Amino acid sequence: MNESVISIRGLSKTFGTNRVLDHFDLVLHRGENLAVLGKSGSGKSVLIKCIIGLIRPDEGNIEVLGQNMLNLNREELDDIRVKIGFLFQSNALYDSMTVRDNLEFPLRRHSFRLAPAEVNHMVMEALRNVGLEHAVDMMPAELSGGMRKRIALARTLILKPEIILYDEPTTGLDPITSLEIINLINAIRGKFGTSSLIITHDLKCVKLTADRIAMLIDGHCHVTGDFEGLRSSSDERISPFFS
Amino acid sequence: MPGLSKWNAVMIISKNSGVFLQEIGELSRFAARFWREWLRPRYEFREFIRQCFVIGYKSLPLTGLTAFIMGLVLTMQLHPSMIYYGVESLIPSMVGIAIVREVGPVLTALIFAGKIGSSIGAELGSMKVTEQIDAMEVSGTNPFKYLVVTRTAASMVMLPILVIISDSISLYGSYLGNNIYERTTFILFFRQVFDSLVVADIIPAVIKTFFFGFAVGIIGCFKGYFTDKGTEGVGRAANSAVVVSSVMIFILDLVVVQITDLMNLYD
Amino acid sequence: MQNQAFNTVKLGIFVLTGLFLLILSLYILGKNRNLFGVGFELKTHFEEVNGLVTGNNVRYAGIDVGSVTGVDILNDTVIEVAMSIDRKMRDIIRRNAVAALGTDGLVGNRVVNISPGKGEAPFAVSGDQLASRKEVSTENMLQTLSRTNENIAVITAELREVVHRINTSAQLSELLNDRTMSADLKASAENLRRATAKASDLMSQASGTLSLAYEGEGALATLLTDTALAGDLRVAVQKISEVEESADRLVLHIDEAAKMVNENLQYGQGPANALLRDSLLTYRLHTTLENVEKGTAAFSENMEALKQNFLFRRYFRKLEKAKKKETESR
Repeated sequence: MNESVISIRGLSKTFGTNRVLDHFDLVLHRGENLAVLGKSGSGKSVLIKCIIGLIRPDEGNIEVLGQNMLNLNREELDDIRVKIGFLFQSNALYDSMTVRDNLEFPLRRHSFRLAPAEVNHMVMEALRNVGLEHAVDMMPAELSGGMRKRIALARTLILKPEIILYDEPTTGLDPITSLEIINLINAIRGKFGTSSLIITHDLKCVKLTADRIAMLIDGHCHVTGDFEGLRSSSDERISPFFS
Repeated sequence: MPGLSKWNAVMIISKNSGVFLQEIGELSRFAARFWREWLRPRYEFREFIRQCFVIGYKSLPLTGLTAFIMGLVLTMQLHPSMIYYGVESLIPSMVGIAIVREVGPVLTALIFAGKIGSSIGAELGSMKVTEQIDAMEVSGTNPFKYLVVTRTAASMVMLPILVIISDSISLYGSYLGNNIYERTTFILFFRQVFDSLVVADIIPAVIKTFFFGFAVGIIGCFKGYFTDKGTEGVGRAANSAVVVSSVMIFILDLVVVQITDLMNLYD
Repeated sequence: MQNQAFNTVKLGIFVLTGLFLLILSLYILGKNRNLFGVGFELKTHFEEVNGLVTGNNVRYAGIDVGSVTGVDILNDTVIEVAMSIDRKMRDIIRRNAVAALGTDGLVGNRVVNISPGKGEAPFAVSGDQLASRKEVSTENMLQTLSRTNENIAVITAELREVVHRINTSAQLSELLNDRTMSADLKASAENLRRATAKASDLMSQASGTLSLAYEGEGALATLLTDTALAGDLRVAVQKISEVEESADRLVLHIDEAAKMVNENLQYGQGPANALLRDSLLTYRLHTTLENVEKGTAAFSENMEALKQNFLFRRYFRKLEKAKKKETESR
């Protein structure tokens, strides 16, 4: 049961003179919720974007579902991306499209041949998963921040991915809304059995969602462990996160 | 310390020219990528049509109005001088040549740069900072094709059409302007306009608008696509898209005029 | 989706409008330059073409009928100009038509003017070569005008002298103004009339005598019955009658002449004055002089305008400077 879906070895990325990632290693197992905890600007977002292939690392290896992400051509990359959901920090809803079009976008783009009725059914189902069926014909600008996050999550879910990458899912939300999102994250795992990589610096989110926590400090994986274990750690570089 | 300040100036200039050259290089690579990708499947045809509508059709009222006023004013301004030399009957020919060869294409392209360049820059810029471009990428879409190719191709195809229609509106404005001073029939006016024109006036003028359209589209996309530093960057992207593409229009115009001059087309 | 379809329609209208306008203008221009019409080709040779280029218009009797398709140098003095002519003109242009170079307005484009030739000739067909006429250039025109000017100046000077001499010549004016002449003429006419009347009397008397002689006898009768004598006499009588007739005609002419002289004396001051008073002649002379004056004025105005013209301004300034320098150096 310890099959790894994502395994990262020696990942390095430098922007200018700033070495954001320095031989970073990480393994995500099937079905687990792994939180990556780090300071703002510590390269968490860079890490997650390297995984999905948005940023090309300087060196290192990324294997997702048994495929080396760095050696894939565009079509193969698209094929593997269907299996990876990505929840953007800023939601990345297309402003010019309705919620329906936003959700249909990945369906249409990934060259599936789907009947319109089928597409509609999938859109409504995804919206039902996040409890926002009524918002189907609204524009993103008309939605509140929490609703947008849920719509973005619905768009991620519509392709039924095996892995979901959450980029700061609770940042910028009020405590109640973030709790709703945290509950959704857990519900999705329960329902679809997805493996999740959650990038965050929100302790509550980490505590409620993560089975395992990786500490990203100074560009590499400082330590991994569960929440309680890390909280009781005496490492002076870890304890500030839990105070 | 004059020596130091001089050294500083040199530093600033070399640094700025370095940035400038780097930008030119990046823009060239971006443009080259457009040509590499635009013929490869898959074709974002629906988005292209949508962009044609937004970029072309919706710009018509603005460019049409400015073209009309330009034709009218050009005629009214020319009239006293032409009267002075007793050649007011040459006004249609002069205005015709001026509009078709130069004023129509360049003025329309500048208005187009102001409207479309800024909107593309701002749209792509805000998409960039809100990660929409990344979202497209992970949704199995090549954002370069979906956003850049469609917009650049649309502005490349639409600007010539806008220019042709604006030229016609401009000439009509000129006809009305001419009628303020003397009665000319519509047919006589346009006969005189066309008598002074040759095919070699229209074809290079239309061809250069393709380049203008390409410049506006690609620069707007480039500025938007590489926006950073959040919302402030979006404004800067829109602004510099207009500035750079306007300057580019004049540079291209100069180049095209030089080339057509060398080709000796206007005989 | 409905909205999208509607937008597509609008876009389609927009694009088609643009393409339509482009094609329309190209078509109009093409028609102007005979790009699309299949014409037939005529050729002509000129000594020089003064800047004629491919694409210039060809006119027949002032109407655009085609365009120049080629200007080639055949040898050092012959330049061949090929023209594409509207097919409709095949039944108009004859083989003896003449081509000449011209200008569209004073400073416009060069054109080839084809004008019909004199006499009958078959219609021109493709490839025919038309005769050419040397053009009347503005320069030549001005040269001729200047020569004409000089001639007119000489003529007017001479004319003035002639008139002056006529007016001052005493004998001539005396002769012309003499009122007694008509009186003399009248008198001579009167004399003639009287003479003929007398002749007529004589004739009637003679005829009476003759009849008497026929009827009577005696010496006269015998004399008269002598046929030879009678023949002679008849001829004599005939001659007298002829004299009478011509005298009549003469009287008529003299009468007329007298009348004319009379009239002249009444309404004018002699024929010399009348010559000068010929209103048509004087008017013509006057207008000619006026035209010459106008021509020179317009020419100088043109020159002035040219000088003001920004294109030539530099050239003229240069000219002025050179002149100034010259005077200074002197």
